[in-house]
Amino acid sequence: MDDERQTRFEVVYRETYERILGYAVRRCHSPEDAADVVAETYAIAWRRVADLPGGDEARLWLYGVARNVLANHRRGEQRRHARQIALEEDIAVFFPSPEETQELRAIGHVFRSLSVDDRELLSLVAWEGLDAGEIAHVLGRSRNAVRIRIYRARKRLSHALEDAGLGFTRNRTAEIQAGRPS
Amino acid sequence: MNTTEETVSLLARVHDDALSGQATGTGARTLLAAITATPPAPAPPRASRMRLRLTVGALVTGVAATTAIVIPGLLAEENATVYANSAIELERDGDEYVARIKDPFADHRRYTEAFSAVGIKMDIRLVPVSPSAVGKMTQIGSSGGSPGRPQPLSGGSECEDGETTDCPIVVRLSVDYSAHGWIKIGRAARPGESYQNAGSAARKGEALEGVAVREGRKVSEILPEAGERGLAVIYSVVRVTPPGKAGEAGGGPGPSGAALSFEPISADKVGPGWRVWDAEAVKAGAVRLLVTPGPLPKNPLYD
Repeated sequence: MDDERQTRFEVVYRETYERILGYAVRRCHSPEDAADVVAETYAIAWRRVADLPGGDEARLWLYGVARNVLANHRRGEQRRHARQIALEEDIAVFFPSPEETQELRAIGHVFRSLSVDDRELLSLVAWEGLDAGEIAHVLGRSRNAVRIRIYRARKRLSHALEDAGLGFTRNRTAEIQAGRPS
Repeated sequence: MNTTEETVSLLARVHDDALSGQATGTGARTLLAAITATPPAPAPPRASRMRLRLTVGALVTGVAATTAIVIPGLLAEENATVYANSAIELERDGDEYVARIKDPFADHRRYTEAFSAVGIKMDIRLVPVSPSAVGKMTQIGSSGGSPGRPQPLSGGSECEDGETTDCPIVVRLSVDYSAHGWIKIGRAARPGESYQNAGSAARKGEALEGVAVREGRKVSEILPEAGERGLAVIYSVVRVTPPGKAGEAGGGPGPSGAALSFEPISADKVGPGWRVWDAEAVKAGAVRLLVTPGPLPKNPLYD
């Protein structure tokens, strides 16, 4: 029985680890934080192995756990590091940022001006490649509600980019993509 | 594809496809072992929950540049069963601890630290050795009561066939090991560094692999073979004292009860007709021939 649970957990772990690691790395400011989020996510999954779904649902379920872990982490971080934001920004240069160009930095700035919820929705679509149905799973909401929220978040991002003089055509996006070292 | 999505995608620090292979890496395996080391259910009370704490350090490095990500240090705060630092990684495997040396050139205190974390006194010293002895124990010892001696595994279990230098060095020992132990394990030598093992240079993977050096052939026959391989040669003369006269000579008994001693001898004193009974690896590019002035009925070193 225990062996069966362990085997199941190990299979899920191997199949999802890179996705959860990616999720954490993309959202954390430091390698330490990312490592913490991954470790805590799987520690919770192990404690709740009886609830762990199989197949691709496991990945979505784990995104949901990681999301909560990250949220708790951020709350703790805000308390601890309220006065250390400048320092963190300095340290962040050691954690490679994707925002290598002025334009990408400007886009990043605009993106971070959105609400946490908008950012998370857009990230789940663009970074994790999830569709509305899958995101509904992760967030525990209905598919329709998620669709509407994604639609609105996209609109808010477009407007914010235009306001910042960063209204993008497809070509300009392609230029930036081509300009990144692969 | 719509523009906002492409734009957001540009902000990703790393894309999942760049993380391919991470799930089977050291960090991932260490974490899995740490998490599943305790039973999952029923959920323990909050206060006694095992907390996983990541050691400080450059854990995730160069994501965008190299996509190399390591999450090495896991330290269970109570009853530590897993420990890792940049030099060593220690995990529990049933009734044994398994230590993998990650950096054989590290300060040996980093190894001690890992064993201390699980309550074991163990000094591990890595000494430079010839290629075939890398990862193998060269010496072992302990003081104090011990319910089982440490059992270092050779690098062989972690090595592919033919590989001798780049595979992890692994030490296993019983979790109830209570003595203060020490182990010397071979590591690859730095350029120019003398080997600290007295291994035959004719073994697989060594400088004179495949050369017959134990048949009592003449020095003049062996030298060209060493020369072809670009090896410098030094000599030790073997003195054999028959049984019964062992007290008169230094050195230990040979296989047939004869006492053997070895003395360095300069090359100009060794004649071409002297006989060779073995060759030792000295350092990269150099071997030591063990010689006697004349023929013997059999190899004094190996009966």
